[in-house]
Amino acid sequence: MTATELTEYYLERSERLQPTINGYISLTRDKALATACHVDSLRRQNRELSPLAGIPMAVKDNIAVRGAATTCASKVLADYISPYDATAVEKLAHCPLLGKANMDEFAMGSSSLTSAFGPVANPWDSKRSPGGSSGGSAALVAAGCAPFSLGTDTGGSIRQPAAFCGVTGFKPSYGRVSRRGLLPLAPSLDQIGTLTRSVEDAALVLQEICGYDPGDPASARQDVPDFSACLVDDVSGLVLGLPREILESCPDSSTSEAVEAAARKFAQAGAKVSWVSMPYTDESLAAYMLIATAEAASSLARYDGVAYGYRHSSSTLEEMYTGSRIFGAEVRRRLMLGTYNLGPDCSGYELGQQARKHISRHLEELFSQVDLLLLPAAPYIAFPLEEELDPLAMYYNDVYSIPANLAGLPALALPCGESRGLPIGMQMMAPRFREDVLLRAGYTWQCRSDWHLRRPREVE
Amino acid sequence: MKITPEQVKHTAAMAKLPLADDELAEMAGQLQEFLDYVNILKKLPSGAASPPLAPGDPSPQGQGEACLSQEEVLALAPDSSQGMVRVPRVIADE
Repeated sequence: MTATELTEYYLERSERLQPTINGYISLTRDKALATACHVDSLRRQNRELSPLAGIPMAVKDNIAVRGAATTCASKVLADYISPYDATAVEKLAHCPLLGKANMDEFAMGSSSLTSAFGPVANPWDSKRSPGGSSGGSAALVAAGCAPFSLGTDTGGSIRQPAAFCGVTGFKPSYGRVSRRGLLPLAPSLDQIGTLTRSVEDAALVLQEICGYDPGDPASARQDVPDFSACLVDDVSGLVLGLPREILESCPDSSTSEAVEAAARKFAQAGAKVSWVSMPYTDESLAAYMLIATAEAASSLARYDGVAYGYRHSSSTLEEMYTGSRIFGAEVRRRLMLGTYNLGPDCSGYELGQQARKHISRHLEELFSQVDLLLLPAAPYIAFPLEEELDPLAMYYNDVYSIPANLAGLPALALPCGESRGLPIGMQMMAPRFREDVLLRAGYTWQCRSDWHLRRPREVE
Repeated sequence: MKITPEQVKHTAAMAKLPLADDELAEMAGQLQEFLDYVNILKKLPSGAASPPLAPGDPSPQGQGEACLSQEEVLALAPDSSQGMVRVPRVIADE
């Protein structure tokens, strides 16, 4: 099959399912076919190509793609066409871009309901949320509209939607993948990662997007291992920690039972599984709220109608600034909290950073006892689209994923069960830059389960 | 700590957010809820704040990196004139 034929197949499926799923903010048919045609031409010349050359992809709409709309799902950037490619996109230039994936506005949310371009539907049940903020990226992979997609994870925005949609979500260590071209939400937490159908696919995409980039001041000078070589069906000698407080208090019993069943399977495969204490989940969420909102208030100060984005017509500068900031309710709420945190009446940002240090140290100590932590990817399964969650309840969706962001750890979300016909996801966290251990354990899990092979029936 | 309506109004002005009076009142309640929630952090041991995650050697800023041309930047601007971004008058007439 040629790259062009493959791309045509995914474009047709994407266009057909777009009214049902709304996974894309924009489809980029011409761009995709031009790349596919170029790859076919190189292949005919017997040029050496990467394993992913000609494999189409979707990219979350907060990652810049030259010549394509990059809206962050916001009215503020509705007409913004990026003049450059993000580094991760440059590295995947041989992958035809099917389109830009829908998401929560400025990645603020856990439902993909806050997009200015309409909500995304979960392919397993179109009346339910795909999670967020990378809801479009996850839904498109689950629905077979894209073989893989890029997402971003600031507090769980790859892992929670991966869990809700029954796909594999990989958040690499902070610094592993360049953030150049990622429109920032909270720069000390933001990380680009992958949504795929399997751990093998995650290894292939990570191999191409990881690596040092001088264009990102937080980029890590770390050797990138051969990730596919880490895919071995063997966990003997690995110690997995099960956080007792989390498993005992998880509000969805089917989720905690599925994770404990996975732990037993790992033990049968030769891993040592032990209960550990990971008590700071509420504190992690509180620290995250303080840090992420303060950094967002700073990051989004640039949307004032001056240099790019929406401008409100006005005769005075002040009115232009204020009138141009046409954010949705969730973004406004977080900007208010963040601005207050940074103000003279509150030392919220410092308090959050102090807590972050404490929590990171605790995790470091845990990793002197265990190789991996195994826990639910999210406290719930996919919730109904019409369910009105108050803001704090919505933030609670990320309560199990946030510790990895605070400490810069890599984490992998994998399907591990079903409840009421909807996927359940577990996640594993590893010490910083130990993606190799996650891939090894993830692959071993896949060799002993078939949850990752199940497909949603709604979008046959 | 109790957040006052004046503080909410001041915060909205700092954030340059156009909030109507009813939105300000709703926001005051939500901010209060957040602040009450994050109070749990005060039970943790205090200490120096965490430095940013150290990735390795800091890279020299901007050295040798390609940047956008003036034309590319101005093409993004809502209004421009004579090679500059144009905005409404900054200093009002006397």
